[in-house]
Amino acid sequence: MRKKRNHFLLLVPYLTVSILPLVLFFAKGIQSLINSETVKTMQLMDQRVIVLLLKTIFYSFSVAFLVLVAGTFIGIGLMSMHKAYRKFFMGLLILLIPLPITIHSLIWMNIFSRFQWMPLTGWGISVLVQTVAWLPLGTLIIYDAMTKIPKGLIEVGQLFSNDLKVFFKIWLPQSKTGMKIVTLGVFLMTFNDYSVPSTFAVTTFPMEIFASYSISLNAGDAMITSLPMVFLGFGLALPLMNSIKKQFFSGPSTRDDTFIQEIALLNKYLSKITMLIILLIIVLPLIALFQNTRFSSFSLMNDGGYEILATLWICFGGGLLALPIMILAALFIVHHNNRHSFILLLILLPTLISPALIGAALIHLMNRPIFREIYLSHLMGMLAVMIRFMPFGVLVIVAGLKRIPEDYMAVGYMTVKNYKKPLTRILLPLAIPSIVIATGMVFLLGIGELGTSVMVLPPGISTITVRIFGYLHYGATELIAEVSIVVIAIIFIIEFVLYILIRKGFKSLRIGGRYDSSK
Amino acid sequence: MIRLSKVSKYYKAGFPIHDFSYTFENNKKYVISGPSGCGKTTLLRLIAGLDSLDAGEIYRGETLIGKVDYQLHPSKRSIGMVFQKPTLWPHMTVRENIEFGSKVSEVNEIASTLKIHDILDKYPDEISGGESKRVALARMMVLKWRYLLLDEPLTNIDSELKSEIVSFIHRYVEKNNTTLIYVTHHEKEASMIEGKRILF
Repeated sequence: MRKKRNHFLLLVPYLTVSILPLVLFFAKGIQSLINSETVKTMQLMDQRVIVLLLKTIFYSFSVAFLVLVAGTFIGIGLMSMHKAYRKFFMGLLILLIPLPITIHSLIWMNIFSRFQWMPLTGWGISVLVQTVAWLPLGTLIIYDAMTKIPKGLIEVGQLFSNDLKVFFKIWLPQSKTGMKIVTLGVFLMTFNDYSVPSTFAVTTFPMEIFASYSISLNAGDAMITSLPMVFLGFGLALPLMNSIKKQFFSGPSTRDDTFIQEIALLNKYLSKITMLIILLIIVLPLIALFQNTRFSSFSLMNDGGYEILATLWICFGGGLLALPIMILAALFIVHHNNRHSFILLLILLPTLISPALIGAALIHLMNRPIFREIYLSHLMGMLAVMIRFMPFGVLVIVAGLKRIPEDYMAVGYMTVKNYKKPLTRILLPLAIPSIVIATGMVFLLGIGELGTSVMVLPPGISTITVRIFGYLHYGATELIAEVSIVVIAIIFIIEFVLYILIRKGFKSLRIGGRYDSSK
Repeated sequence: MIRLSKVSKYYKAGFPIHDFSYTFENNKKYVISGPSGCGKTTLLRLIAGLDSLDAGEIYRGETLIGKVDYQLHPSKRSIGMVFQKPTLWPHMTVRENIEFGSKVSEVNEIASTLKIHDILDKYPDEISGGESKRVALARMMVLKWRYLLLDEPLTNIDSELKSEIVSFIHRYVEKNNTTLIYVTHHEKEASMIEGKRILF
């Protein structure tokens, strides 16, 4: 009798690339801690570190809360817009998602520097930059949740109450999954990031890991330092995972974003205010950035041309190498129908811990003679991009696969006697848009990768984000404004190409397909 | 034959089947009828291997094909099924949908029988609901099945065409010695099939 196959092999490439370095690093850390004085005397954290930890938690919570409030407001505003405007403004928000956080830092540094009374360092500007950086993604996730509510729930409510009450009593509470994802996700991302705080002379907890490993290269020290972050990450992972499953892995869904347009009070003002906010967070900073450049001095090759090419190569390589690994991991998750929460937790692990820790783990694994060629090459950057952003790509592909009605494959399996044809002729063609988005996402997010790259890139190799980060510590100069404009242009062009590919190219080739529930 | 022994299937929010036993003999026709939501479709999905069992066993002949923790893959059961919804692959033309599982091209013959010959090169989103149902029937019935499960196959189809399709189903079943399990909640449709009635 043939037992159900586990298909565990599908997961091996992902675990090898993303999880193995971390496991080995932690194993080494535990080994070096066994006889360590730190453990013997149980002095794991001193008072300074505890205060720093609490400060960082408060800082991250502030950012998460602001993104939640602003994202919900803009999400409602998007729903209240006319369809054509909504498409346009959502497009603008999508454009902003992959913008490197260093460029956000530069932009706001630029704006603040025009006003003498505005502080260029400190918690305030740091919270603002993080909030603006996460706002586009946060808004779109909340909007997604708000438009996925079954129409029936609203219609039943309308039998009893007026539209405004239905909105606040049914619609908003029903969107809480998306709000939970945004709050927990932004909290974790902010908590793990050290690049923005360090730019604005703010010390946060992840910098301790960066500092402790950079100084001693001791896995034990870095591990001990990172423990509170790891515990916090894992503690929040379960509710985050459940919310992600609920919102994105729940199969085909219908959307309804028309209801709010029937609420006159909201419809009258909200859409205009939202348009204004989106334009403010996009147009104003871009104008400020352009004003700070003189294109006559634009000597790209000298000012960062090499780094731009290196960045594109690293991100292209990272995206391409990640592609098969992400597809296999996504197939595993879909095949097991989300039953293994532990596996999903493993896949999300790199997003739950600090990029500095990933950097330390990669160095620990690769800094040995057998991997010398890799350690001194662009591959280190590619690995950093892959480890950090593959989890997002896997989630996107899983969501894409989940949208394909199960019966499509069931019919395929009935009519042919092998696995290959339904997989290659039905599942993969229908999943191509999500696969392309996932790969594009790894590529685009890779451009802004900093936390790990700054540690793992060998001497002589740098990405443009690392270079901008380095320059930022000397203030918002004209030079980095010019380079940043080029990076923004590259990101926008790639996003435009992806859009054309998905909306026009695939549609004409009928790849992807729309799922009509009546057919 | 297909033998179900004390089969149970429960859903959080669905139509349960509890301790159901029955034997579907070879070369016979069965019509399962009952009100909406009584578990007719669930039963077909269990037989086809699309859902797992919570209790009981399913045999094809003497071969165990399903029990708790064991499922013979749908492709290995020699059981065809036409779903309530047509589930046509949206990226393939009607012809490609029908040809998917067949090597010998009998597409034209079945297409003219089911009156879909003029839409063969269209995509699913370019045809009507009734045409989609007929394409779904054609896709499954272009192949020879030992067992064929039809779940409300005539919904959305014009009444004039219904009798033609029913006689086509009869011819198919006799020609291929197929065991037919036909699910419907329409009394008139059930009487057209002339099979053994099972009330759910």
